[in-house]
Amino acid sequence: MSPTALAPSGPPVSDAVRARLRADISLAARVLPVSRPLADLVAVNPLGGFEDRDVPTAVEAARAWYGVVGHLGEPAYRAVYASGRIDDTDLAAALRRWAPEIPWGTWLVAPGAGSGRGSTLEAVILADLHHGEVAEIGGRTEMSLAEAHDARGGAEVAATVDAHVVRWCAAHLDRGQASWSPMRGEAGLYRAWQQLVRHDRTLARAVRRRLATGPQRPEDAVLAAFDAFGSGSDDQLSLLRAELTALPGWAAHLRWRSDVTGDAALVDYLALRLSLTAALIATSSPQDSAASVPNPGRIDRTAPDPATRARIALHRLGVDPGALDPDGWDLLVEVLGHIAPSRRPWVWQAAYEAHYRGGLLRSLSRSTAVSHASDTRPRAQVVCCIDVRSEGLRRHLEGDPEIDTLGFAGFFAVAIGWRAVSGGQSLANCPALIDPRHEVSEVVMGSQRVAEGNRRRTAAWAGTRDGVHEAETTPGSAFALAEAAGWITGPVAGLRTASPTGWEALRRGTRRRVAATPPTTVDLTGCIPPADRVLTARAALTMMGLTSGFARLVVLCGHSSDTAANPYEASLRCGACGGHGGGPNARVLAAILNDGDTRESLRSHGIDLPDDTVVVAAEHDTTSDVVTVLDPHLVPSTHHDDLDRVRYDLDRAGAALAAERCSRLPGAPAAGDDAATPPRSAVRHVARRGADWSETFPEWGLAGNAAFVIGPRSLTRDLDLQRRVFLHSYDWTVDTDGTALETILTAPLVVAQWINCQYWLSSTDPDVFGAGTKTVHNPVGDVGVLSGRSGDLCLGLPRQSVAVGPVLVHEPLRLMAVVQAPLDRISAIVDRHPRLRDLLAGGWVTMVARGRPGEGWTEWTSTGWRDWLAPSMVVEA
Amino acid sequence: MSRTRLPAPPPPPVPGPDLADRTERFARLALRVTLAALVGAVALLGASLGGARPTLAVGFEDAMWLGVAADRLAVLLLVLVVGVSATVQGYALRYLRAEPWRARFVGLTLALTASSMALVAAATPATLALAWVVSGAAVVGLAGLRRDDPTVAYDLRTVRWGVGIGDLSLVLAVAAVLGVAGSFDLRDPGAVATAAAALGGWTIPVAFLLIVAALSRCAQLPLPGWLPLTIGAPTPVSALFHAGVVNGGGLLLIVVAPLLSAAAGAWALVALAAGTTAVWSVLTMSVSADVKGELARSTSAQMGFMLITVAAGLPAAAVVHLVGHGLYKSARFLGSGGVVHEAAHQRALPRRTALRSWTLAALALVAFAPAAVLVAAVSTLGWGAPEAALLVFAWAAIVAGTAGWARRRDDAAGWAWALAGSTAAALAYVGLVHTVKAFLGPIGTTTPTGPGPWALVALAVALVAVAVVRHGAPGTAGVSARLYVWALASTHRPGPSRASARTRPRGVMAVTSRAPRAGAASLAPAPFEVVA
Amino acid sequence: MDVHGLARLAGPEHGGGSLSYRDDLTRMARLEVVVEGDDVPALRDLMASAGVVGFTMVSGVAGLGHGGFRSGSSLFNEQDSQALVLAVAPEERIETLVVGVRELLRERPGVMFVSDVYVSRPDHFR
Repeated sequence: MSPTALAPSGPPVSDAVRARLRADISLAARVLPVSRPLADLVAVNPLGGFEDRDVPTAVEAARAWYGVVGHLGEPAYRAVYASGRIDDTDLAAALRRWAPEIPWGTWLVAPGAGSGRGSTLEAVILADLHHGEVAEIGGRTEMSLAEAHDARGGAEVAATVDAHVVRWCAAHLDRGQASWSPMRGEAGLYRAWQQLVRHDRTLARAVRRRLATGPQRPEDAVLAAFDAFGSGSDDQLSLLRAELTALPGWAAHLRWRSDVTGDAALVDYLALRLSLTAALIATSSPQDSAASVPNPGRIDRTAPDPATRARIALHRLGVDPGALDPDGWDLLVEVLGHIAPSRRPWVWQAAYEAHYRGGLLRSLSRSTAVSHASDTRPRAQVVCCIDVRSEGLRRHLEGDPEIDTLGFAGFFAVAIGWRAVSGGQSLANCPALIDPRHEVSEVVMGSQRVAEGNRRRTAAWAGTRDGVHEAETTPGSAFALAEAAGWITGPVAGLRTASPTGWEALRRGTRRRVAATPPTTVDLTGCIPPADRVLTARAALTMMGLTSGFARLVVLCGHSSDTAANPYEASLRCGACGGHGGGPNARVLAAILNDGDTRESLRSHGIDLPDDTVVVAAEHDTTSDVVTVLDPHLVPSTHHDDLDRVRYDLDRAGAALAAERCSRLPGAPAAGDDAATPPRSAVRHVARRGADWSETFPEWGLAGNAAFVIGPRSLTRDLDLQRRVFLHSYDWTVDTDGTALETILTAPLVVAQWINCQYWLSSTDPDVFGAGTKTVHNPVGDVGVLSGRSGDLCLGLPRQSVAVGPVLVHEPLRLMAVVQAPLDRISAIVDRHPRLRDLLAGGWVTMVARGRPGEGWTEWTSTGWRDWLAPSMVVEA
Repeated sequence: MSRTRLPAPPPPPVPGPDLADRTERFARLALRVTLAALVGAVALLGASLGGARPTLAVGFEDAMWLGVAADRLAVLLLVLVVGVSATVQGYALRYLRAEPWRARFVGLTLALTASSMALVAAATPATLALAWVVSGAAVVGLAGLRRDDPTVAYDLRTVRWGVGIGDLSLVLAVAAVLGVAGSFDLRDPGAVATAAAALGGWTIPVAFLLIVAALSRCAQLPLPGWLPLTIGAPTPVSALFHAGVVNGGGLLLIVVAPLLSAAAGAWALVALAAGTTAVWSVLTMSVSADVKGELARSTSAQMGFMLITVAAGLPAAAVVHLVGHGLYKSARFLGSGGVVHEAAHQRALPRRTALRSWTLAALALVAFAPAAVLVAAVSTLGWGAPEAALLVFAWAAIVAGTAGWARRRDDAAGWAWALAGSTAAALAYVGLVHTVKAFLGPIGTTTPTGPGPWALVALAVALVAVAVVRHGAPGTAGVSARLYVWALASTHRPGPSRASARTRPRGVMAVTSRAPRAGAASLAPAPFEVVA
Repeated sequence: MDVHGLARLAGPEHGGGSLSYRDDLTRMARLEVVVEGDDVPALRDLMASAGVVGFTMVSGVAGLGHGGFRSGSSLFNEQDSQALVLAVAPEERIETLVVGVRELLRERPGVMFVSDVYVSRPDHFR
């Protein structure tokens, strides 16, 4: 045994016990969401650790730790009903989908019988949904040691522990904000803290002494605290979860740092937190236990029993309960017993979703467009990201019938580490599901001298900013800097506020004049081996179903977003590119597809890119709706005319899209009732939003997302999907072995589901999985934001991403995937991927499919395919 | 080929920009009024160049009791206060859109702007006290905009106490002065000196009360540090506080300087409190990992520096600092959300090179150029020892900036640029201070009989010591650890108890239907409303 | 390297077995674990803390087990796949590690095998 185990407090600990603790910490941490740094923010399902359960069960399980609600609450749904966005047919459909075997149409009281009115089972249930007493929803019930101590009436410990933990976590996890930061990058937080905390005068002397002489190993510290104040090691996992979810934002970020960058460890965090808690409890004076308060998250009030609810509902319908025969009464009470008031909101949620889904599927069925790929060669094919925002751009581009568009994951099948020409670290430009497979660098075209000049200009630009930063942070020098710099930054602040676009033009103009970047390109040699290029090209083209009929110009259009002073900028960028812009990925795939050798190899695989087809990369700024063609200098002169025409088309489509979006952006110029904003002023307006440092609603991002269509564009080409639908092009006839569909269902669909869940829970639980209002955000470097001066790191999306003040703009609907492919192929894929199966079976995603146009829609269920239930019931009320 | 688009299910309606909204109209009106005031302030600035000193006064019994005077100091500060307020209100027009407490923000901002205007131009003690108290109340109101947040409500007690103690002190001091000496022209140093003489034995307690008021407004030790607790307020509020409000303390001391000079030890007390705050806040600022916390603590440090400048008998330099820092800090707050972008930008750049020994040598050589410029300025412009001590800080900033540059451009051309840039910076700094000094003319002619330049020298020495300890010089590890923990412990003070935080109604999107607004009935389905 | 050389390297603690070549090798323990891709960081943490300095990992393994057939790695989702992690270390370290892995597998899908193994260069596994 190591001598360290014999530290003064705490019993000797064996390595095995420590290993068990470490495993438990990893298990406990699974309830934490994934929290990436803000600059690499991508949407995730905050309940990702609960995805193996169905949604209501998962939410109820998570409620114990987070107090999460997960739905809008019954009063809200009833209000939605009143507004017409849910109707009785939706509710009827939701009930039937939930339990098809229940005879919903049964007459409990026949219409003509007796003196009262008749009523079906369904009508009574609907009455209960509409008028039943709203269930109270509990909060966090699992309490950390400090919370439990406080709840027992002890002296306040939890607030002290939290403040202390936040202070040290911020110092430890900060990546460059604080100018004096000896804790940064310190591997063993607990040990380092133990050395330093003895100087912390905000803690009582007895506490400090106890901490300084505590166990030296973090595992031992955790175990010692549990031994002293926990309730035995049997529920060690629960205790750990309660500690981790006391400040879930910090713990989640620590988990990410420990798993990915390796410069932090949860065991250290827990050791710090628990040894402080134990020391504070041990040294606080014992309190009168009579002062104990009940667990604040627990609900004491019991919901009315089913029989009472049945009587109330019948009364509402004007039906005499005595008119029911005993069998009917028993059936009613039994069914009501299954739909407990706490579960009723989920019926409402299903109805809310049924309303949208029914409408979408009806539109898809009515859509009569046929693929015209065979008739004429399109002038250009534009491949956009599956992102819901691309739907708008594609729709407007297709205003010109000579342009075809396709949807594909925005990283264009190239998972790269991207090193920009400025020469910094490589950024992971790929979905969070995978690691970069190739390192690709952007290089200056031209001589060594040009590159060197560019390097110097970049360094000069950076050096000026660094010089100011250095003067700001050096003790003593900041005084004179502030008083001198203010005379410049003050007027600039005025200009930035009065004319954001003017300031942006001035800034960019200066940058261009002082340090313009020469033309660059991506260098594939040495980065991506020829064999991988062919594989990537094949995978990409097969997945999007584009293996023949290439146009003269194929535009790969990634997307990004530039917004000013916005900590959540990355949340508006491409989720498939790790929260970065998709331009680099588009440039890499374009380079691969333009590569002669690759094309040669592709021909041997039956994919013949004609010699006159040129692939061009572009990037769509979703805030300003400006589409920039990247690397135009690489386009051969034979295609300059084609490029000019496509640029014109992109400008036109961008302007039309901007005008369309203006109708939904708060503060956008309104052109009067029902008239769209003129494109010209819309373009000016959205350009302002991106450049404006005071804009908290730069754009709506993916708000509104509700469905994912996997199929050829002919399925949706006739439809205005209102930027609510992810669109992945797929043609099962090209995908001979089903691998393309398998990839789509296991990767892009999962990313879309994460986005959907992020928006959903940021809407229903803004305090738990939402980041609160942006106007009080206080960034901790790029680690995360605090809401106000201290507290937990915010999780999820800010309120301005989903709502305007008190009004929700994002409708929290779970994702529906619509697939056009043979059903047995889909079933086989789902069966091979248990996670996908969990998502579908648990209701996180609903999948609806049809084999070919003209067939009816069927829904995947864990017991087999079921015809999509058309909500056409007329309800007797 | 033309196609008709079938509509898919529409998304819910978005509440419109609603120009008819009363709050929106109120905010726009307030901004227009402020812009008009800005035009007026700039006009006054022009007029003051011509020697005008417009006065507005209400008096009785032959004495002016309430009045404002637009002397050069006042107009300069007026342009600052109104300019920042206009910028902040313009910013807030979009930033605070859709916040439930927006109307209160606009009203309180107007009150704060008006009272700050009265404060900087106050020509009588009563005006000063009145403006001071009103602005104090507006500060507390703005800091408490989000009172429904338990942490904000909890912190508000300290804010109220930290600001209120100054208000009370100033009211008492002004009451004593008025009671003993009657009203007088506050903008006339001679009149202030006469009043101080009339105070007799009251001078020391009155001076003490005035100092407490100034220290409170500038968030100085040993008074409760209210400023870092206000960062729970929305960003525009912070910009207003740090650019406009905290300056009140400096202005007060400049105006009542003759009175303080008459009280033995008054300036030493100011220098001691301000110097301690400056050093301490530099420490706490450098350990803060949250942007707004760092900015708030940096303001306390800057105000400490400014008060020392006043104590050293350099009111003009203090005014340069007040205005420059106000503009700088408000811009930093308004842009605070940009740090994430900045971090991403830094990541896209190569690593900075370490400062090697020969780099340091080159730096030392280059540092001679600005030093020479500053020394030449002292001799040609006839500046005294306090000014010279002050220029050391400017030199330090230039050298630090050059060091930052050199870590990017450690090549011959880079050093040439560094030489040119640092010389130009020194010249620009001297030019700035000289211009403002010349514009202000003689203010606070009474040279304080206090610590003089030694306070500045002591501050410089203390800051060098801090830098040495911070960089972990050999033998300082123990001190360094203590200082670090001590400074860190002052950040992230505990909030309210968790139990009270939990009992508040959760901000669950508990949605209720909203009655359609009159005239908006055509907006089909009623949107939701959150009861948070 | 000749047999004597191996024996020298193996040091004093080489295990006894019936097969003669084992006399020249060092007995150690081998742990093979198949876990979900997103449990790999937890496993790495356990190995690091148990003092297991090296491991071999094969990601995207396919197979048939208790929960049905699992296909290998999907093209763009490495999290939804299983990894095989193979670690060799002195017995006492594997013993510690096993406690942790068993705890992990109490709640997570996966399998674990422990076996004896003989290595020629024990210094690589300490």
